[in-house]
Amino acid sequence: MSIQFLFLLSRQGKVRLSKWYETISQKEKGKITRELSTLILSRRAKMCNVLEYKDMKIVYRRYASLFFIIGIESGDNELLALEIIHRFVEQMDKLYGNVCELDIIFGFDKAYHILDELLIDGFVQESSKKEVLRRVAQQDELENMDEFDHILA
Amino acid sequence: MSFQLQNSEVLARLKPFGISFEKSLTDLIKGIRQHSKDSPESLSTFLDVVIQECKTELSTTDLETKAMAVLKLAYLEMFGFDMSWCNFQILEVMSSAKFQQKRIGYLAAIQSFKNEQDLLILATNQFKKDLNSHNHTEIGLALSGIATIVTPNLSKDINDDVLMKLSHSKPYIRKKAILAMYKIFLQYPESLRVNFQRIIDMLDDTDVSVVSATVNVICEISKKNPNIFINYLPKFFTILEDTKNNWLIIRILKLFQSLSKVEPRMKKKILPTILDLIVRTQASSLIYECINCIVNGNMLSPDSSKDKETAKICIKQIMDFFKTKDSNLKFVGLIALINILKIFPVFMHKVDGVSAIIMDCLTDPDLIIKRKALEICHYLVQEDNIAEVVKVLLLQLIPSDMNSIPETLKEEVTLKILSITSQDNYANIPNFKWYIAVLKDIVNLTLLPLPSSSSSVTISPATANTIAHEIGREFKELATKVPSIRPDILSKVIIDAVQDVRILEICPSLLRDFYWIMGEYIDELKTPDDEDSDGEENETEHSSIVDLGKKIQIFNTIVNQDIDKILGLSVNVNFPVSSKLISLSDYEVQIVLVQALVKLFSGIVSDYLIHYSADGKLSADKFNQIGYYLYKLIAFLSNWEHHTNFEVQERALSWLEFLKLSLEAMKFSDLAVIKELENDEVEYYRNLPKEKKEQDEDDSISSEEEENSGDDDEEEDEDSEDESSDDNSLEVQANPFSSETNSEALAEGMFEGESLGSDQQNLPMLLTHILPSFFKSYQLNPIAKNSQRKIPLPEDLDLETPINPLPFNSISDDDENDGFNNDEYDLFIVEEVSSPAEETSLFSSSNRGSDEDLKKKKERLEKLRDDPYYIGSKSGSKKSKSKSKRLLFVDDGNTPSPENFSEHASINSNPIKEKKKKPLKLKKNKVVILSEETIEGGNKDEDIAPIKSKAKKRSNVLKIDSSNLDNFDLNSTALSDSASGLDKDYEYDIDLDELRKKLAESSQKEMVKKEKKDKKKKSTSTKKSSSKEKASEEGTKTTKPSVLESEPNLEASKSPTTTTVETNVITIKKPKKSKKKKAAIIE
Repeated sequence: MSIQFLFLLSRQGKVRLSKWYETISQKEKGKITRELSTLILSRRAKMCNVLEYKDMKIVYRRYASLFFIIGIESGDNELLALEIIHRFVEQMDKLYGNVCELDIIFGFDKAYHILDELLIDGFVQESSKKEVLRRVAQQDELENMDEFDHILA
Repeated sequence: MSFQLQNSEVLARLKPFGISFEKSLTDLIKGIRQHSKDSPESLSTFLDVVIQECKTELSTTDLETKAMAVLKLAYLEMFGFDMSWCNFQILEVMSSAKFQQKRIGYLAAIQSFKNEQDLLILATNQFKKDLNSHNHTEIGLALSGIATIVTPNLSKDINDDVLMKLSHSKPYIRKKAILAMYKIFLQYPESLRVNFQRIIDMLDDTDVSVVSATVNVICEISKKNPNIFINYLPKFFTILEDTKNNWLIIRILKLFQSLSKVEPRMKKKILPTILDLIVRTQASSLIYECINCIVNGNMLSPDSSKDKETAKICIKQIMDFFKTKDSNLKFVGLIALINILKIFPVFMHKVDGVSAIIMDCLTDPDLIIKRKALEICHYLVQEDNIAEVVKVLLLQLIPSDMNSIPETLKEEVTLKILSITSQDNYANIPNFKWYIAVLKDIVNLTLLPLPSSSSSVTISPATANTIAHEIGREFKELATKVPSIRPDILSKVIIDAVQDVRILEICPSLLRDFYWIMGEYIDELKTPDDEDSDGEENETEHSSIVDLGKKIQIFNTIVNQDIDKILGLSVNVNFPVSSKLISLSDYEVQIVLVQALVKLFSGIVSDYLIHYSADGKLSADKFNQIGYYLYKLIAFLSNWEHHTNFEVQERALSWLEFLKLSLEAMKFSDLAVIKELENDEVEYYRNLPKEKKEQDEDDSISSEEEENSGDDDEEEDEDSEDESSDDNSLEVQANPFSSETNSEALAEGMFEGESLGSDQQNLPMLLTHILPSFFKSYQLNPIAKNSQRKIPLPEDLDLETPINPLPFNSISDDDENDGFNNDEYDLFIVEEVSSPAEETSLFSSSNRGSDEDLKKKKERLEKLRDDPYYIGSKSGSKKSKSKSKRLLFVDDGNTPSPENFSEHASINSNPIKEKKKKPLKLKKNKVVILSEETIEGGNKDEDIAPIKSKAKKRSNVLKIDSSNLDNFDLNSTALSDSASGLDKDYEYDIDLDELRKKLAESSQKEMVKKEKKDKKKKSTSTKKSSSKEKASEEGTKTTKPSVLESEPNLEASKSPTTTTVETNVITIKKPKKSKKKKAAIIE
């Protein structure tokens, strides 16, 4: 399961988070984002959440006003990809506490941190829910410690 | 500046107490939200300001400020702003002692770092430092960063440090390290060779997430190179049996899928386990993966009955997916089903419900599912349901209430229908009249705008062109292959289509084929005798005159452009098609049209001869009419005398010459007669609108008046060029200037000859014999694709030696002139010698000379034979030769008539058996379908192969480049311990002899050029040849790798692809190649 990119899209087609696991130019990214947002935003709720795009598959899922979109290789398991999206959302939900779009907009770095613990360069590194959160919490703690040290000094 | 410093200091101190320091980021985000509400302009100015601010912030010395600016830029990156210009500042932030800043630095680096050489040298040190940090969180951060950013150079430098982390005390680090190693392997395959055993050992890790990550890595590598893992199959198997983690199980199944492709025997062991899993588990993702593993792992072979049972179990599971009504399960279920059906097409109808599901998916409102089903629906087709399937497909082209059909779908459905129907040389078509109706429906639904929806949605030229091209080809193929259907194609499709100005506007390329059919088979036009209640003999005679009327009607539609001009109409009311054609930009169509028009004219002439002639003589007015047609044709073609396209011009000009000659031969003393006819016609059209008006008034007054209905039709048809419904009126209106006489046409044809003997005239031979002979000497038969290539070159054909060693010295001005003057008659020299005197007399006026002249001519020919500027009749172009041949043919009286054409054809064709079918109640009619002519000898596949391989090359920027692993071969190294040590410097040691050897070998193996280049960089020590020898020794037991092969003494060796050029990080993947090369190595 190798994820090539992941991004979050609002219903208006605005990017809320984007992560590319392959080095491609900004122009290319923009093109793909635009093409996919027109494709996905036009789909109706009951339709399936998988599309074929170029020679990969795009799996998306909508949570409230946000679309979570990931690109996987064509041989990968689409259902697993949906599971990963769900995992990501679950964990954000725990970390932010009832996550909403605004949380992600203003705390985008946190979302990235979760993602980096969940996936490493497009591969799922941790299937345990608790472990991911523990790691993120640990890092946050470390950050605060830094601050504290700083103030004490 | 100082204020800023203080400010951040204060904010930083406040942070532990819950007061956010990220003020400026929040400001930015709020600002963006605020401004995007206003206008795009205000947003962009706002962003410009922000970026400028970031720039100043980055130039400060305070790390805190810098980190914040970097974070802001990382946010903006999401909106498509490039931030690579601040990479050095990011690096600075990364190196901060504070974790919080380091974290921001890594976050930004992952988003922004690309392939900058000098930057990465600095970054390498930073990575090393962080990797060796005492804080495991920092190590984790560094590993995440490395995994994303890694480049070939970086991977080499960082390799050892990451490797060390594989034995870190914390599973968290081990897990990340192994995943990071995979990215290093991709960039630097040597590392895999060296550390292979290390990876395998990781499978024994105590922590399940590390095992899981390791399986993940192995799974990815196995996609490229499964062979190296086959020996560890038992190990994977144990993991599979021990774990309950579905994520892990799915990954192992993926791995098995790759392994099974190269080791078919493992199927026996793992298949029971997989089947057990399928039944036991509740997770649909796992069931789906199990099925994928079975199907894509080549565990089903179409011949085995046991496999058939397995497939049935899978299908049963898939059917459960469909019952859930979940669209995602429907989609994946459909995909799995398609894959199974590709192996066992019989299940389409053998397992209950499968065909129903495919049908259901075909009509699914979700285009994605519909498209998928479309892919497979040809398995659905049997002889008894083809009509139904095609009907369902056609229904997909009809837009629902609000949704219009996307063009791509139109195209796909069209192509699918065509491929379904033309399967096995039309074996499944129950009735060709039905099929023509289907094709006509496609044209109406896809190309032409729908009458119901007034929306201006028109199809894009590109799609229209593709569809038109395909449909046109299909019609053409039908017309050539199925002789009995030609009259229907002509009368039901072509006649309407060529007069429909919409087709010309929307999809002119369709007309290319239509014109061709029209020209080629115009003589077979026969109005379908639906209402043959009247006396049959009379009817046929009459209907063939009707056909003549139609021909003339088509002719006029195409040619009559001048009429509107004379009438002084700015808009071409009467003949829009004609005027459009003149200025059409599609040369292809015009090229065909020139030829087709002449054929049409020839058809009209021969019809006149059949119907109106007595002893080959025509009455004066008929004679004049033909003259007038000829005159119009010439006028029309003259428009292209100076056409910009060479081919159009060439064809138009060469026919013009012939036609003008014919007109001269008709010996009109002056053109007054023709002018008169023209005036008649112009008058007719001038009065048309008036009459029409009167007619309309009449209609409004007494609409019941039946008497005029015939005329009514006539005018409407003429006016709108629409299809005509009434046969009788057709005849009349088609030929307006002769309409007065037409009612008595029959009588005239019979009696005129006697009563008006003095007026009778012979049509010149040019029109009666020579013109048709151009087209009818040979019948056209369908020829198999590529068969032309198989025609062997004649032995005596020498394409090598130059034709003219002395190009210029033999031409004198005299000769040249002479040559041109006589040029057009040279064609007939052959006749002069061989054909009867009667025939030769045709050319006497120009060409009949004394023997002396002939001699002279021969001499001249001798002289000119080597002249490049002169195309001689003998050694010259094929065209002239074949033409002259045809003439001979005619003399023999051997012109094939349509009847003996089909007779002849049935010899090599497969008659279709009559069969009854129920749905739609199509009458199965027995028709002859010509089979394609092929030439024995050549291998068909061979011809097609190169085209296929070309199509494979596709690029995708998003694919991870793992081509480095393509040629990865552990075995090669296992044998060459002695040759090179582990500590060898791969980079700079170049053994020229080895290199040459390898180059030679690699070219044999069809390696890609690029890889060859890479080799220069490579260590060379291994003997590929030795590995080859070894391999051949093991030839018999290739399936079971020897112990030697699996031994982990891997070192630097051949590997043609290790270090790719730096720019390669984003490169295009060529995954398909791997298998082939692999095979070469194994065997």
